[in-house]
Amino acid sequence: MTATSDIPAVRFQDVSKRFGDFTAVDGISFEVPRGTIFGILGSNGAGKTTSIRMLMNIFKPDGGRVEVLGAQVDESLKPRIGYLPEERGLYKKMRIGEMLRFFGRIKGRDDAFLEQAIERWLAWAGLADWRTRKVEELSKGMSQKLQFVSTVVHGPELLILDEPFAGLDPVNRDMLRDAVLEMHKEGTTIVFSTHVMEQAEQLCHELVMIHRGQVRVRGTVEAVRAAEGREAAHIRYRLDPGQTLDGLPGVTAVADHGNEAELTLEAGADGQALLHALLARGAVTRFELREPSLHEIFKRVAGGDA
Amino acid sequence: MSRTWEILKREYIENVRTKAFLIGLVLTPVWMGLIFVIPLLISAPESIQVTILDQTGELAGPLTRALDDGAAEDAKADLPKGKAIPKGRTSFEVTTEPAEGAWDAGPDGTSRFDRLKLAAGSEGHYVVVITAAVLEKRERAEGEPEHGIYGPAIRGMGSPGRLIESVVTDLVTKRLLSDRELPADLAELIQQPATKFHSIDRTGGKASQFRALMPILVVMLLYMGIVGISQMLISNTIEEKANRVYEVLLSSVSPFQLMSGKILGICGVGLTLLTFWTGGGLAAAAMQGSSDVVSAGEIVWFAVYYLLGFLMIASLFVAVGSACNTIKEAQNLMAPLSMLLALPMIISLLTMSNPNGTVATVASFIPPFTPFVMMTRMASVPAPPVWQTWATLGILLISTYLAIRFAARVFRVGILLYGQPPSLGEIWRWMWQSE
Repeated sequence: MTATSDIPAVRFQDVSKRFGDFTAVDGISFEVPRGTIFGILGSNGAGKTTSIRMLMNIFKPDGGRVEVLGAQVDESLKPRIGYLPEERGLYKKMRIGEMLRFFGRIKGRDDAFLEQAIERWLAWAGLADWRTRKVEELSKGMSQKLQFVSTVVHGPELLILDEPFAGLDPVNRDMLRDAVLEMHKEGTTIVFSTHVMEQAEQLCHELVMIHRGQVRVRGTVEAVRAAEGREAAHIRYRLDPGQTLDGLPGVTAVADHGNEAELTLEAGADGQALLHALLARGAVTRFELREPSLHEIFKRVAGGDA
Repeated sequence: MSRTWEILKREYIENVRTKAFLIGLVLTPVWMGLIFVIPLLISAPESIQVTILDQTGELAGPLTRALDDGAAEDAKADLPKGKAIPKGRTSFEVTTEPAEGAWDAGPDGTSRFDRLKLAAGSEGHYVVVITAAVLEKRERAEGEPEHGIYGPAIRGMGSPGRLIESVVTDLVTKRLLSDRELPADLAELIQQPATKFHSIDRTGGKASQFRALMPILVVMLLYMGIVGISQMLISNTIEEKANRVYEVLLSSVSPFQLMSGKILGICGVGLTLLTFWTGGGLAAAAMQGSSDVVSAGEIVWFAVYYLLGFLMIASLFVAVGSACNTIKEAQNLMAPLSMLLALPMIISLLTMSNPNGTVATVASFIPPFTPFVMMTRMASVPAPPVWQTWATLGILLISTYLAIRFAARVFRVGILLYGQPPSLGEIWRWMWQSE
């Protein structure tokens, strides 16, 4: 794997996809370096799932070229990829062990390999004693974990997760995140899509922001934030009665979350003057000047209609 | 190929393991047996009322005896060929009414004969009228009643109406012959046993009873195997689509591999059932001493027609299933298809008596009908012309290929589509869409 690490795991070159009159993906280009955790960010309907489906050879692009693991996508690449689609489910009537073996076999893995992998992953999911039980007997949280296991049981080089955290409770979300980080350490390249920017901010090294089928921002998380060239004040506050966050000095935009707010500053704004102005209006329990969050950047690139 | 094989294997094993499969395996032959047995049980009412109006006064007695118990010696003596009436489940309750005045209108304008006919028509009775004119061998005079039997429509061989008709004809013939001075050898000649029909197979040998049923049996088996089994694919496809399992599978296999694996897996389920049923049927026939009911060639053709017919119709079903989200939606789309699929069975049954006639020949060339109609014709005597066998097979092969191609295009789009079910027009467009 290291020998080919200079070839990107995924490369989109000016890729387009139309459905009738609707252009879902409009000439997007980006690369996913090997061994990274890569985020595809965008609101619902931005073109994330369509892009991922082209990556999986489920849709064929109308224009451009999609390369995966150094070759143009085709069926022969599928065994090397693990894919967790947004619309996901399992064979409810099958026994858990048999179903995992089936998913492994259609990826071309032999029983000896799968035997070990199934054992290991079922232990991770806390389902070691459930091998001979039917999938339909599982609780919702358990079947979400089993769903992830069925995606990775064959040991993929590239793992593609479409909205992996949607619908997970906080405990399972942390478990899934730990498993993804573990696989990353073992050398797996991970591409995931999300519309929740905070998740991307915590997890991914590089990202691409898609809006209306077009790439608006791409790069490492740090580069994307630095490229904004502006700072933001992240505050925790309590205003005196009758006071608002309007008209603060040097502030161009306010994202008010109630107890906390993110204040986007104009270039060269004076942080100390802002803090004084805030203290005049109420109590401030936290005041931090740093790059704007991905969420605020995304709101800006989406032109307010995110 | 190995991925298709894995899909096929899963589909086969998961379906063969179900209770529904076991029930079908056991209950279908029982159900089929009932189809043959029930008509025999219900075809003849237990007791049939027959009223005789005999102007001659000579035939009512022998007719009553013959209908009461055809096997009795005195009844046989009255019949020309000394032949007995089969004593089936039918029993007759015979009454003789005086013929005198039966046709005279009463005060209400109706005659006794009219009232007997009314009873016959409404209750399913029979009225036998034997006129003097018949025994006198003269034309019916103006105003004289008509000789004959009045009753509900004759339904096929062995119906009570047919039975009474043949007994009366025999009695009249015998009576007319006994009036004449006949040369002894002529009378003897007439009393020779009736010409017997020997049904033969294609090699000229004696056709077994089982063999005579063969055209019906093969069509029923094909129909159950093809239409019955491939229907499983609709509910199965919809269920898996509702479970959102398809896109997960598409991460490993292509839509075509997925579809063909599913179809072939279910095809294997059908083959298993048919093998059990025909194997059991042949074993039963062999135990009765008819071991040569089918030839190896016929088994091969049956397999060919089953496979091609199944692939064609299963492709249609899987396409419908993939386009729908619920069974209810599928039923709307299935309505036109079901009507189409009932036709081959009907055509096969209708053309059975004339297996090489125009209707059968034309239907053989219409792809969805080909397996059924051609199999009926192959199980019949004479066999269809060889050129038709190969020409229809060629058309069937091409159309099966096209059906699979079009189904694959619908399947590819359908399995990823949720929400509003597509119209037939939209499905039509998908069929012509490139990837």
